[in-house]
Amino acid sequence: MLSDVSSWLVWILPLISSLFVPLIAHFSEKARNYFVLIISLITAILAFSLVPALFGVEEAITASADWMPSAGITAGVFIDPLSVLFAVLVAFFGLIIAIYSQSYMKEEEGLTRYYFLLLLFIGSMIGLVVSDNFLQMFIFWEMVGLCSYSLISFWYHRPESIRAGAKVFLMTRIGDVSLLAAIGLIYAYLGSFSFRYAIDNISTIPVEILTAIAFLTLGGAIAKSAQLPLHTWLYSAMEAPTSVSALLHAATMVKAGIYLIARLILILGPLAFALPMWLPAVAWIGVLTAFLGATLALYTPDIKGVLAYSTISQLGFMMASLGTVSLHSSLGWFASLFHMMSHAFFEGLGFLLAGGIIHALGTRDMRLMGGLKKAMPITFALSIIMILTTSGLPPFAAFFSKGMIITSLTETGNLLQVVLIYITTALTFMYSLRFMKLVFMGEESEHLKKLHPHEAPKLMLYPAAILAGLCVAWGFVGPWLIGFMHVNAEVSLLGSFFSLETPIFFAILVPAGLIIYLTYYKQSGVMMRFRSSSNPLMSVLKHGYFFDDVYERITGRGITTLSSGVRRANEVVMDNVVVPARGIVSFAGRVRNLDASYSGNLPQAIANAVIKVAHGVKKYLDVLADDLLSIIAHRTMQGASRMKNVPSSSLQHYIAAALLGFILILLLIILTVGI
Amino acid sequence: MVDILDVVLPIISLVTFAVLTIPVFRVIRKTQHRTALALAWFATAFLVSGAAVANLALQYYSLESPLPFLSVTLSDTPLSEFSSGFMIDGISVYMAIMFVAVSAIILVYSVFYVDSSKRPSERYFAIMLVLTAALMGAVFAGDLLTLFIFWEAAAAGSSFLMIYKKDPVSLNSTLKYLVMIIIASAFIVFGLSIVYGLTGSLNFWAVREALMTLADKQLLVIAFILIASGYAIEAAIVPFHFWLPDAYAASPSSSAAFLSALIDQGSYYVLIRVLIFILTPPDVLNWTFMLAVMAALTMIVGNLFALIQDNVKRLIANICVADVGYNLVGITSVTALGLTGNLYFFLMGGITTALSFMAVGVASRYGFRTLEDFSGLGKKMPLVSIALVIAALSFAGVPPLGGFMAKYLVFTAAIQANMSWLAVVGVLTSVLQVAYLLRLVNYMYARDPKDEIVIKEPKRILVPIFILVAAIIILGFYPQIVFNFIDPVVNQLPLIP
Repeated sequence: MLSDVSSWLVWILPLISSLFVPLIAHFSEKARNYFVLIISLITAILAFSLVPALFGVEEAITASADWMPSAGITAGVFIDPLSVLFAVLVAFFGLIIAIYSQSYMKEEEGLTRYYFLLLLFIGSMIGLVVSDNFLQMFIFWEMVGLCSYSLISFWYHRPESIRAGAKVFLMTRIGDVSLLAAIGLIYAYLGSFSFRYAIDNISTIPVEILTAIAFLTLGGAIAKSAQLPLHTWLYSAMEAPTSVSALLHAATMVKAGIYLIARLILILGPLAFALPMWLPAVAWIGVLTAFLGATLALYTPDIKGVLAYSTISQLGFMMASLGTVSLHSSLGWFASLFHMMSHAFFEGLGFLLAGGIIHALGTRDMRLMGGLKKAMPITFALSIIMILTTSGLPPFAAFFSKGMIITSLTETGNLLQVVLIYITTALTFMYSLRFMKLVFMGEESEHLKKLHPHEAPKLMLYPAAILAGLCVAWGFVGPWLIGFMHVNAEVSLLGSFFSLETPIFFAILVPAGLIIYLTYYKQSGVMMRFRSSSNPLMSVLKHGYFFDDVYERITGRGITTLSSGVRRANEVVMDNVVVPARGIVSFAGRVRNLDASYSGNLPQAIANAVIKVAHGVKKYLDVLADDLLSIIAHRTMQGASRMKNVPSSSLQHYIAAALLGFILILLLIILTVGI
Repeated sequence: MVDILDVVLPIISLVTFAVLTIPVFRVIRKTQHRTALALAWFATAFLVSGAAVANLALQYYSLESPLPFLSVTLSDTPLSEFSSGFMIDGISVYMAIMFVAVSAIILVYSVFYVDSSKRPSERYFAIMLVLTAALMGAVFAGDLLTLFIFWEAAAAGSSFLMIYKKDPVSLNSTLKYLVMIIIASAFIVFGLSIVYGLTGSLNFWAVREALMTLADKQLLVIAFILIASGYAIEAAIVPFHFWLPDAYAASPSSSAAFLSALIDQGSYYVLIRVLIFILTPPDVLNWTFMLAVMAALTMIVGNLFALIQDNVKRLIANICVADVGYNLVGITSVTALGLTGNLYFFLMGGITTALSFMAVGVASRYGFRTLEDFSGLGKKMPLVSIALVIAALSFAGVPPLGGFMAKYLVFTAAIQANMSWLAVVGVLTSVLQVAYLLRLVNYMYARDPKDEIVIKEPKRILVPIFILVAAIIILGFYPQIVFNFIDPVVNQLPLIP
């Protein structure tokens, strides 16, 4: 059968071909570009050819080959609707980006590296979703990560690119360790990595271990899919070329976390509902991320920043929806994947258009834009489709997918989550309108007048137009898709229009639109005062809720403290005894200040409190991290500092240490064996 | 039937080539193509000894049932088990193949690194050959005394490699190394004498049989502590490790690569052989907890020390210490998976440290030594930097490089042996490794170079470096190549009563 071959070729082909890119580039650059295009086209065809194989098949199609027989590890493919959906998306998007890059990256240097990594990424990402065991999946999980760091640091002569790459590496590494721990536990209890074996035998694992596995896996997904509290890397990842951002950081790689959780729910089966707190945790993380991401998107002046935070927010929607799965309904599971696809289309479209705009204007700052409507009419028209889809207006794709997410959240009956999600949809509408206004509407800005921008090249507009078409069409695929995915839920297109959610949705769009209208079109005084930089709420948003600042203190400073801290350690250790006391005193002081600043204006005061607490936490963590790390550094390295310079350590120390070790062995043996 | 000649042939051939190297180099040095001829000479040496090892492996595996502890002695008398002799099993064969292969690559590097036209260089190469032969003797040893003699020859002999530069720093650290080795051998000999008193033999098999049925274990405990301390000094287990960073950092990079990839791995082999296979299986004396504590200490201290280094070579030397800890995790578990992980780690850990020493060696030729010096190295020496980054990623355990699978196997083995805490320590210290290795990468790529010196990277010396890079990537992706050699060993483990 064709699918037997194509399920292997679809990821092996791009992986192998990536190695030939440098070779072919040796002969001719043109040949290299065509080679990449042809390979991604074949990959897309192979991926689509997997779809018909699944018609009328209930079980997943698997095949495996020996990889490390001595460790009992096989390499294999696991073809089911979930993996095919992802594989098709990745292959299709890879093709779109390969076409787009021909024009967008035309004048860059190091294109051989770029195309090599692009094909490597496509192969690894498809490999990730069609893997039939955890180990293989993890290896590809790391490989897409590697491609991501390398592409973020693509312009390696720019220090900020390197810094962003390193930051992303460290942050996602936290998730990788967590996921690795989960896989280690699975292997320790099942003795196998295989999905199929896990599905059959998962119930033999004790519930408490299973809970640990589920939460550790969630940790991996949080880091990869930029969920709270590890979401900040996605904004830093915007240092990558825009085409890369569209492929990796909007459409495919960040969805790996969604895939992981969706896959885990399938593997756990009914056991997923028996795990304490797990599904609610997934839902809450999703809802909070969606809300927080949307507020940040409303603030940032960076055109790619809006899209990055929007991606974070939309990933939150998907995560929240996965958390609503219950014994009787897997609507949430389907809604999440459905939204995953529509998000890939509209956010990918957004990035492709932003790429064209950045190309024409040479800046990412939206405050320098405005009035692009006339200069770039096609981009403008496509942007309208993008914005309507993002906001979730009918009949565009996100209307259906978001509607389903809201329905599934309503079914769980958690009122707070439902309210937050409605507010988030309103915020989504707000930041979309703001984006539109700042970039396209109004007078031409000074920056624009100097530049005389032109419409993006055709080769960049065609891929965008395809995505725009999918934004319109995708919503109507829902009923067919739900059959394809074997989900037991009723979805009708008409039902989406006449459900209770629709009027509520439209009702909240009105005030949301009004706020944006007042702020940006009327420039009303109230709103201006609110937005002034003296407003503490703005400061909180400006710092992205201080996540990065705190992390920087803990990690960045931590490492430097550990490495250079030895020298300073003495002084700090001297007064580390008073740290708790100092903390309490300063906290009390802060509370008093807060009291004093409570001068009648309630909203101001609340915002004030938020920023004060945030500052307090930041400072306190700072002190804590600093002191803790320096104590560790001091205690363990007091001796080490002497060893640092070569001849200064004398033989006596060596022998003393060896005697110490001898005594240690003696003690340990006597303790465990006894004489 | 494996003949005694099959066993000694690899050793004798290497020693012969070593002895001949000195007169041969006198001739070679006068000719025009001296480097090419030197390479050809060593190629012959390794082809001959490689063929001898291959012959031995084939002989061994063509036996009806390749059992562990196949004794090979000079005479076939009934008392032969009390005499010195050799012994072949899966591990010896695997280690021998590994030693020949890795040693050949490092020798090629040394020919370019140590100026082979200068005077004492022929002795340097000869000593490398002799050390490889001594290691081979140690892995084929059939009794504790033969093992001791060959292993001490390798360990003490490696001081010649360290001292090659003859500057005060290397003299100082080599002297310290020698004193430590002598203390270690004193410990070991003392322990061995007790074992001999207890069992009346030093033959592996006889000792093992006798110990299994030993009634009074008091003396055995003392002997064990002495022997374990002795070998712990030589394997640089914390807190016996202080000599290692000094010695490796002070020796020339080619020596450091040789020491980390061969001598270091040899010391783990001795630990495995003595602890798991012969002296005291955990049923006789429960030493696993002791070793687990040492493993945890070694991983933590090794990585913390690496964190504070400014000198890149010392940083890598400290990673060697940490690697000892990861190897001990595998040894501690005493499971089939742990043994697989160990043997795989021997190879991957060895070539990764060798690779980084080689790359750092090329950089240090141009005066780049500290982290500050490495600023902007990515632009100055792109190929060397790439090799160093691959090594760093492999150290940090990033799949699909070799380091990942090695660490993964030993950690899973620890979980299987109900020592999850050890695996947790291992994973956490690996995260620490990411931190300081990333710092190195950050210096190399994100910082601007201090000066505008343009360096033309030497091309020839990069060949052995990139052979190792390719090995790390290929063996990481497809470890089965190595597992094919390890499988017989692991299958033999349950055969030992």
